[in-house]
Amino acid sequence: MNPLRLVTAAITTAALSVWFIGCGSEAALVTVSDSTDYIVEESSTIKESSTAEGLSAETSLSRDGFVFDHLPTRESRRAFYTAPPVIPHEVGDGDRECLTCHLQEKKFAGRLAMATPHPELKNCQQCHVRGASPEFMGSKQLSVETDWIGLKEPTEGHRAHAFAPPMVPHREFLRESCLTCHSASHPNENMRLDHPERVNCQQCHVQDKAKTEIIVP
Amino acid sequence: MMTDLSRRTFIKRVAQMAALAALGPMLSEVYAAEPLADDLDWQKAPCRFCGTGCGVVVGLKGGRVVAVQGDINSPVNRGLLCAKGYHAGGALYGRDRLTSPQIRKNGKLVDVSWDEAIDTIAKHINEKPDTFSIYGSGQWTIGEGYTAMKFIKGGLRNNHIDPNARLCMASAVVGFIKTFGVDEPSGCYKDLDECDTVITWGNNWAEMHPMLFSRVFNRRSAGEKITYIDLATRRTRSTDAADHYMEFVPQTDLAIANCICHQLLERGTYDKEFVNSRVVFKTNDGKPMSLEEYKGFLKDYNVKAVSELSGISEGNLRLLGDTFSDPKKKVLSLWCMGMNQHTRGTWINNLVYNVHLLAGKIGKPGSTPLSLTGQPSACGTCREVGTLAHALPGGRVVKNADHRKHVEDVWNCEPGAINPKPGFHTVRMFEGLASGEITGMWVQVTNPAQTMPNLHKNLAHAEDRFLVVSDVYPTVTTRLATVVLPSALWVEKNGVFGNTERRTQQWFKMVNPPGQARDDVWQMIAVAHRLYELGYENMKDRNGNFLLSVYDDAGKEIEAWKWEVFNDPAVNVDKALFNEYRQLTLLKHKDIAPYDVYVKSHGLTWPVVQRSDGTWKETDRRFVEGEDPYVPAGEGISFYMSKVDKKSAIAWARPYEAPPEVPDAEFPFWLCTGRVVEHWHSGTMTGRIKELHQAMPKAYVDMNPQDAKRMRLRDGDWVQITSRRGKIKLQVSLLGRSIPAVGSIFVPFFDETKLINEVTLDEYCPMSKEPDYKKCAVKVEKLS
Amino acid sequence: MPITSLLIRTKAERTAAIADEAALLQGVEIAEIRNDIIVAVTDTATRDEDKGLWDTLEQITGVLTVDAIYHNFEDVLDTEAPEMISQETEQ
Repeated sequence: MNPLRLVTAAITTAALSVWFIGCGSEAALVTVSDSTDYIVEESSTIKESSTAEGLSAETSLSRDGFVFDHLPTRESRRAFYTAPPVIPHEVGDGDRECLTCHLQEKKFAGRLAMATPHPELKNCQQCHVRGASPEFMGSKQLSVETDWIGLKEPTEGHRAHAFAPPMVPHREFLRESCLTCHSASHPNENMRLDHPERVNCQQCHVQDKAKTEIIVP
Repeated sequence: MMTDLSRRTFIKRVAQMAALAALGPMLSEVYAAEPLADDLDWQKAPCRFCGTGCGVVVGLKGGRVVAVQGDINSPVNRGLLCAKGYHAGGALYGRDRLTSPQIRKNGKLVDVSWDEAIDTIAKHINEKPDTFSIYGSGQWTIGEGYTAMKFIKGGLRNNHIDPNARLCMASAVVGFIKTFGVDEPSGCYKDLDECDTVITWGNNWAEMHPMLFSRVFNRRSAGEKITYIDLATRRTRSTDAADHYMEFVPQTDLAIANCICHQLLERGTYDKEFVNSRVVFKTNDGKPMSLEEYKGFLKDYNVKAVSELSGISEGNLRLLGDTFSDPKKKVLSLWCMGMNQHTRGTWINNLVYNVHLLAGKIGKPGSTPLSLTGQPSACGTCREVGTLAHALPGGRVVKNADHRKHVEDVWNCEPGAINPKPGFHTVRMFEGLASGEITGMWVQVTNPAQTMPNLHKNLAHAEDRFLVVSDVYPTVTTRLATVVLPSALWVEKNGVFGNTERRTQQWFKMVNPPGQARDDVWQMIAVAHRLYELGYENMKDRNGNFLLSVYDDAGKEIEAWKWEVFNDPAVNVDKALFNEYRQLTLLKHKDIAPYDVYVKSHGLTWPVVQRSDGTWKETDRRFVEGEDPYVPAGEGISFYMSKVDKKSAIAWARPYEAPPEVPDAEFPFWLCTGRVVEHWHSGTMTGRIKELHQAMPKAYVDMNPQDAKRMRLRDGDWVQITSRRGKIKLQVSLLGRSIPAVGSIFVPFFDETKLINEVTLDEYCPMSKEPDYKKCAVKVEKLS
Repeated sequence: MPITSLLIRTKAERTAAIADEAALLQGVEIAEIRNDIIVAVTDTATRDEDKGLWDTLEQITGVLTVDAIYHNFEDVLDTEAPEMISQETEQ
């Protein structure tokens, strides 16, 4: 598992990203300082802090009112949880050089191209097809009448108790490299890693077998 | 031509629609109702789509498929899938799924009961049994093919049963039988792990067998050196990985293969020992030939002459010669429709075997010719169960009296029941349908009104005949049907498939089919039983009992024609049929194990034989001592089904022959047709899967940019493509999915609004009867 | 000459106000509002201007996230079909 360094570079290609660095500190999902219902024992530290670490046990357990705002976008790109996401940016049929942008995380003036967790697989478009082909957009042919309901994304990994590290709610197969998705610069708090200095993820974060185990009779 | 302003407006609208599409349903409302990862049931199955036969695991919740993942334990794909495999669950849920039987009354299809539908079909067959046919499929399960065989060959006895695999693998089949005396490959997928050189012969495996492509090139990513030679008529995604791209004039593959053989003999770099002991030569019309005579035959296929004919440089032809001459190289040849859908498909299959036989590159790990199969069970069902007009299960043929007797005994037919005269092959059957010689046809699991070549001719008058179509969605074929029957799809029924590498894979029914959709096996048994009730003599076995009777493990009859019995979860008709069929697989050493062994495995490659400790052992490579149990000790590599001497393969002296239709002044372009990775065949399933449809919503024509420039055509321009048979309008795609050779175009056939088969040619290989979808002559005209 | 479509997620009580403020920006068109998500399309002369708009939109009070969904960019319009590269690799 490779901890990835954050790479900032000037734009040299017309590559595309659809993630933005998230909102300013005031626009957190539920700002503790905005909530007047929240009862705090030791008020000062909680109010000033804007990261998860400063929150007490009750806050981290209470997910009511949390809107997992990365999930709609994630789900719009996947037929079901753990399906290969469709390519959310324009890509021509002649474009094959995905790894130019997706081998290592790349930031372009605030935009982020995520690194792939499986760069050893080179036939990207075997699994990742383009989402909504640009040149055919706007045509009636795009609508698909289907009743398919796919497996939902888990909102987070289960925690045994308030301070426990969340369990990993997905298989590691094809996702062996944690930091590619849980990058310290991921735009959404819920995916973003707030302790990138700790590199041995599996020491604390174990598989949640209830969600991940595939046992075939 | 759009002005800049209107173009920008268009793009803005496009952008807006993309954003709206991304919104989807309001997900906060939807979260509560929808499945979470907890409490999923997972069951295994082979993928519904191509002949690679990947193992999948299907995630089930609430009686629905909600996810599909690759089966990590499958030796085929080891957990990976392709876009179609991942999204296969969506195939079940298109909103217009057929859910009720229908009969056309006064020109319109109306819903009817199953009883009425079954009765109508049986009564029609009872009146005209001799001219009623079944057109089946390489996507039939083994149980379905076996039932159809009993129905036609034991029941109606006209032998008019042929599958769509005729249009896909027939040339490979006859090629195998002519060279080795028996069908299906010696090699297996482990050869992909061992080769150091791969040659594809007109095959875009990056899109068509993506898992096999990845299996080789992931080795390259890991640091192994693999040389890939792409011998092709157009640049594709596969070409991106190639070390050498060698573009050849269509049909000159025949000459190229002969040229490699010529070089091997000229240089003396052929495997002398292997050729002396395991190869005999025959002239094109079957007379014995010496090695010297064969070498003389190849004189015309020298490098200079073949370079002029094929367009491949002399240097590249020598490179091919070098590749096969090097005894250290492990060379894997792969091919599929480029060689099979060919007016000399049988010959080109024979010739590629000649190359490997002369080089001694056969039966060795990583060094072998491997014929790839297109459909998920063209091997398992069509070829092994013999659902062809001339064939019987287990590699038998109707012409052979012993073979007929074996089958009559297993089916308990009256002796002499099976007709020794082959029925109509596919193109002939459709010609018969058009002319009225065939009065009725039952189409199952295929869409001929979109996929037959030369549609105007072959589907003429289809709507005037008694056409029964069993399918899962409305298609261009159901539009012509007299009776439409809604069928169960994939994991809505029990089934068994057999893939390219002889791997038989079983799955259980996991979810119920929608509405009144029912298994194809049940449909055939129900009609057969209605015929039996009506007194139709041929549906009786030699004891006067129902011919298509099914018996459980205890030998008790299952009243399978009653839906409530067939559908009872405690009843497994598929198992009963499979275990009966098993005994017929032994004659040509295509042994399969009992059904329950497959339940516990991730597929097994036949011949599967039982060890002394009771466990079952599969065979990696046929004809190889130590792997194939039927090779006698000390024989090394032995083609034991050889008609010559039970050990030698035949190298046939096949010549180059020009195709029947070549570009000329009036029709100056070559037209090639095929698939794309997103869509399966005629797109009836994949077109209803959102991610796949949106990635590739409509058909187009790939052109070479030089031709486009000359014709002042831009990407997106409309053109009309015309052949002597039909015409079609399509948009041009430049530098897109593939780049055809100059003077060639490529059109995919998945789009039911763009029937390219109105344009294609139905000339077929005279030996295999397989038509050539890859070459005909067209003109391209710009539409203003 | 880029064109981008954006999904702007907002805090529900601020949605209307954000839409008004965004519409005032040169190059931004509000296409639709669904509950608390605004669909906007930017149309500017240069990429820098486009990115500038995205940044500005992010900074509006109450905006939670701005996601680009479709981005069209081109520097030069092609007027000729490209030359074909050589058809096979020579030895």
